[in-house]
Amino acid sequence: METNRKIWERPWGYKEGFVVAVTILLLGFILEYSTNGAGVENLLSYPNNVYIATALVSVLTLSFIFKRNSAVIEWLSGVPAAISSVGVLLLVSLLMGLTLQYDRNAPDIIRKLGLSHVITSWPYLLANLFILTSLGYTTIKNLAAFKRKKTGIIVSHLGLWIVLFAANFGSPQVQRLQMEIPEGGISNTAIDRGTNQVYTMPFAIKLIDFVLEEYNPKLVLVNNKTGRIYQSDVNNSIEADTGATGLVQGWTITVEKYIYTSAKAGSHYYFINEPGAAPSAFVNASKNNQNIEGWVSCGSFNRPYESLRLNEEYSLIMLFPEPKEFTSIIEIFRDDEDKETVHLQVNKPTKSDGWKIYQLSYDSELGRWSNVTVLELIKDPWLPLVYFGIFLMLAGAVYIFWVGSKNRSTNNN
Amino acid sequence: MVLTHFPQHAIVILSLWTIGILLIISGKYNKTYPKIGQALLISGIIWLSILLTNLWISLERPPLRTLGETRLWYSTFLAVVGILFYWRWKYYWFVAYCFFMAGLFLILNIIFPENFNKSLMPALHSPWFVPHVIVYIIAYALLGASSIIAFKQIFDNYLNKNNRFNLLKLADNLVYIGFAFLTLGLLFGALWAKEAWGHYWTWDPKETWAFLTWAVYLIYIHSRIGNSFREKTASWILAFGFVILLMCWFGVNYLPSATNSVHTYSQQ
Repeated sequence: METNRKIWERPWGYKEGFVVAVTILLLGFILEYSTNGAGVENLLSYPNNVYIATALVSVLTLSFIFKRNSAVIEWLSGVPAAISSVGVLLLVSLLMGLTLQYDRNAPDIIRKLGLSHVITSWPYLLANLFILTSLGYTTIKNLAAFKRKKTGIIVSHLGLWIVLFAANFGSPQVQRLQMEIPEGGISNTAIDRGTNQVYTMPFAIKLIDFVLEEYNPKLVLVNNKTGRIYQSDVNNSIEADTGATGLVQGWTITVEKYIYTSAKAGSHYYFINEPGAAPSAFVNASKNNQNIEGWVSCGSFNRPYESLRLNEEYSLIMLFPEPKEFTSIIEIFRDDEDKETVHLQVNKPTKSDGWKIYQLSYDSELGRWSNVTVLELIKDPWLPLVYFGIFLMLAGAVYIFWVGSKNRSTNNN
Repeated sequence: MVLTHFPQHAIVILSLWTIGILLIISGKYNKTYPKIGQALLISGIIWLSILLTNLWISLERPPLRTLGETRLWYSTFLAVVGILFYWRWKYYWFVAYCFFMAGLFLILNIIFPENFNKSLMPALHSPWFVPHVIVYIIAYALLGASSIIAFKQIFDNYLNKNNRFNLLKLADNLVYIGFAFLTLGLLFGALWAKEAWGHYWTWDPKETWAFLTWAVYLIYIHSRIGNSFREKTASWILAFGFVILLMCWFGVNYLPSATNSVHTYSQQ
């Protein structure tokens, strides 16, 4: 606990922490405002990010070697500075958590203070530099006076430092591009949606086939006047599947027949397999003495939907089926006549020449009949460093779990 | 579907827990009461676990997608934390609060029934799904339990200015284990995001609030090193941490900043 020590009298503590925190926040917002909310995107763009990162590491190491006993470094490597720096980053992140980011309609003052683009704003940069400095000195100090029982502390602190360092200075070099390929088509160019710049890839991709698997569509009641879906109890929908039955709003609904791909001829739906064939179901709905039968269909991009009117208030409709999994079967061609076939899915990306390739989307209007796939190509040269940091943090978390509070009381700076 | 009868199941569990807690509290009248009480609490937990298992089987996917589903897990884990800490420290008020909270979450699910839905969007088809959410719910249960201690300390201090914050050490243990799980959940999420969305951290509103939660508990842990903060302040930080945690769990969906969140999995 702090005694009657005067401010700026060694050892520095929480009073100084408060002053430094306020200064950094003020400085950040003043810089942002005075540059009209331009942010630090240009300042940190490649190769400046590498220079600044190198400078930071050099300054931290050299200053620790030559000035480790100064009041500033002593304070920065201690608990009050840790709390102060996490506090500043927390405040800046809180502002980000409360403001819609990249909102084009943001008021001028929000934009000028950097609150519409927090992660590329001055306050965010300064908050990160503060925490990287404080955390950096703490880590170096513990490494310099290595003790085995401090391994856990060193691993978790070093891990967090590496993650923050690599994520912040690496982000300007992350490239996210999109590649759109029609079925049977081949492409070796991708576009940056932010700048609309087109890049040529070191490989070409051919789309052999695009396959979309869907869940069975759901049958729900819809209010005839408001158009809203009825939902007030646990069971407000029935899966469209032959034989399925359920109770919604007092109506017992039975699906007599379900056809995944169908077309209407006369008053009936029949199985058919062609683009745009829509799911349909013949249903029976009964409530009290009423019994209504008929077809419902959600339609498709080229076929109309059909609903079944139950009474004045409600009609039964079929919702569009939700996608379960979508797969692009692609061939990747590289310079050296090397060809690879890949089944690309969400959560199952692939790699080629330093790029990670993701299934992003498709023509959602055409749904399962989509004849185009959209892939995302991502390159992040700093990723291995981030993963190394994450690995250290995981080890640190396991350490905290096992050792818990045992070492806590002995570490009292 | 099994959840059609959720209110009936929940009422059975709530009754088991209420009688169990009453028996534990009235331990001074008869030594066997707490034993029967514990048996009832555990029966309730087993009942709830069977319900979750059935839900998992009937939905053909892990029941971890919607808020209502995570509330059921939270209720289960909080009850488990309560009974474990009761065995270790014998604080009957602690087990009572834990089960009160666990019960509250069941009641929330009765009041706001959900349309339990089989579909799972492609982004959630991943081996990371279950560990990411379970680890988080365990963390939330432990940190929720620690906040109970914080609120009790603050309340006791309000009633009696000379009150010593001697329960904070117990909270520290909960926070340490809870924070370890919170870190694992956060990092699993980052590793999964890289596979699913292409980047490990995009400051999506849910991620921002997850970071805020993590940062508050990080501050709390540091504030306890060498007792450099007053215990009253530390208790307030701990209480504040839980508010941020709840914001991250439930509140984010209602924030204007979350309009474009990729973490919203329940359709309105």
